[in-house]
Amino acid sequence: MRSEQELNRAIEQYSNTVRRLCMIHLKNYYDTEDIFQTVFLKYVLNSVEFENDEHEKAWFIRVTINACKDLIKSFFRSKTVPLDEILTYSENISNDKKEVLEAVLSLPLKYKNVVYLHYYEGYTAPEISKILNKNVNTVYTLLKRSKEMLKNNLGGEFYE
Amino acid sequence: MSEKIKSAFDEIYAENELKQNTREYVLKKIEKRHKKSNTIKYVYSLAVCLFIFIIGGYKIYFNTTSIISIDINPSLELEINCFDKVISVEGYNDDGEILANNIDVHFDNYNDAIYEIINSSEISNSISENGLLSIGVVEMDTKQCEKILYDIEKYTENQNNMYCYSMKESDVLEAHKIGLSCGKYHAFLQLQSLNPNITTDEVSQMTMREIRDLIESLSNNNDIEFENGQGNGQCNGRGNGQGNGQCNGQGKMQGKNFNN
Repeated sequence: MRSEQELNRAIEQYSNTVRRLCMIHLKNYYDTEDIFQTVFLKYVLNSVEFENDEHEKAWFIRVTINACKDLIKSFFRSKTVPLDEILTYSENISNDKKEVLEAVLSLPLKYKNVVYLHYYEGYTAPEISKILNKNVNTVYTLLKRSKEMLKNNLGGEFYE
Repeated sequence: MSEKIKSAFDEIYAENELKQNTREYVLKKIEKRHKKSNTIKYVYSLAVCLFIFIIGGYKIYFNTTSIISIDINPSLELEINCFDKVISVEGYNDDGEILANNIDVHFDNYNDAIYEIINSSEISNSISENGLLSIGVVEMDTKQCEKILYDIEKYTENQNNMYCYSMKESDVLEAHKIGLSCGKYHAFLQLQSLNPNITTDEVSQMTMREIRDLIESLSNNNDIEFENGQGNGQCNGRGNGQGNGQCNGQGKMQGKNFNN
């Protein structure tokens, strides 16, 4: 079991990543709180020694995505809110950024994950394939299709 | 494109309240787990102690520290634990087995058990028909043996046709190996010292009175003084591989014989 100091460090280091992944998968703040509690409790109870920060970060991403999927599948999960509500937590975001976020969030789930991991976290297709436990070629295909969908949604100037 | 997505996602971050709530939740959970694990450890330790206590207690309670052999014609043996309780009753001939099945002296104090056995119809009838009752105590725990012997001596000293003696533990193994009770084996050794041709089968069929009478008649025939089970001289002189056992058995018998 990890110490309180380790917990505090992990929360400071990875909570933004967990928050963004939650935003991609979930539709309300209460579910995000649940995921935070699940992920960081799992981290404290987990005795696996991480090789480096990258290994640890990949662990957080994988555990968060799995926790979100489990929560979505959960029979007891009944609280759902429309897509609009997601962005009520980001009132200060400028319109063009809001537009980009909405375009990404409107993608099917399998595309949202690879877009986030590739464009934001900077992972390569082989790295994403390991994190998501998918075939590398599948990841390449997902990236290509998601790029096309974003282009359609946001228009040609998005590439500029 | 990459930059635009990056800058858009940069606007999303975990609120301080969310981080603080998570921290508090996880720490509370850990504390609960600690308490639970301490309780489990405590319960587990208690269960282990209880288990050891039960197993240890069982082993101590059912460990034989003395054997009392009661012979007249029914021959039976009582195994006694360190708490002076009877933990086993075993018959060593047909009559003995019947008697062992008919009486219930398990977990009784040995004094009560001996009293009940002696007053059973089988044994009291044999005594009234001039049977001879021998009560032997096997020395496994010397202090307990002395105490039991003292109690039995007090009981038999005023009784006709009863005597008591002590035996060595090594004799028990020999006795059981040839299928005799300790008392019968003790008498067999005496008899064998006078008549080497006597067999254990013959002795097992005889009552204690018959064995005692035979010992006395053989002693008289051989013109050797044999009174009340004494006879160190004979025993030592006859030593032919049986001498040690006979000698010890008879030696113990001296002074504890209340035969009339």
